[in-house]
Amino acid sequence: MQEPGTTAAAEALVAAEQMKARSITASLRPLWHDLVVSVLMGGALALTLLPIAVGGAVAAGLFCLAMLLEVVQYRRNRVRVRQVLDERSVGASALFYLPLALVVPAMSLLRMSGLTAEPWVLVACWVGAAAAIFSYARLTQRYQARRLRTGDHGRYDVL
Amino acid sequence: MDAHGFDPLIHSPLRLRACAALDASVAVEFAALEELLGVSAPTLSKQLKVLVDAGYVGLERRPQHVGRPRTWVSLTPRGRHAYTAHIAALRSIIG
Repeated sequence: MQEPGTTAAAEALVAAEQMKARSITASLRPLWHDLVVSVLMGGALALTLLPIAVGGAVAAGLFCLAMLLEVVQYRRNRVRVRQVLDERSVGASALFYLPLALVVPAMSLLRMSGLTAEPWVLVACWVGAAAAIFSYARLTQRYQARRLRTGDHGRYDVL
Repeated sequence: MDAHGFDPLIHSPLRLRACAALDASVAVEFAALEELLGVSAPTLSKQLKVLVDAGYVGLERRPQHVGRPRTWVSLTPRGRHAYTAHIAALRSIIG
């Protein structure tokens, strides 16, 4: 086969890039999954503001449900498309845990202030936590997709 | 493969798209690849056989806890190298 001309080469490149993008999309978590998990996790976090006897069981239930969804999604992806390992994204996640360290003192301050009984505080915490978790989940997916698309991963990430 | 990395074996439209789909993953399950490419199983098998014979693609049949075994398709290191070189050759043609 002879080398293709400029137009044919450009068309082949576009076809290859489109297929790669589709393959990457297939290996990512769907948007609805991140949304549901964020709402469940945000709810679990907000309910910890209530006395443990009131909100503890529901918060634990929401947390377990979110974890179950994560496991199901993880297994579904592993059964269809095994992702390229991405060790650097683990390092990037470390930044996320710094603000998380502030959550516990912030919760303690809220409890001490007596504001926690107010329904609007619970709702604000729920919405705020869900939005933060959702934003983080989507950002990590975009980061992963961008790097895979440009082939920006270490050779040992591909096993 | 010629000196510039252009590989006629990969350049066939379906094989190029199959390699592109495999390039971003460790492995793709056969049915998922079939779905991604929008082709029938016999067509995909035929094209993959060419890539397997060239040593570019590996097939691995794995038993499942439930259901029939699944076949996983992946680029071999040689295949990944050839695909990367082929894409670079296409880019150099465009200039």
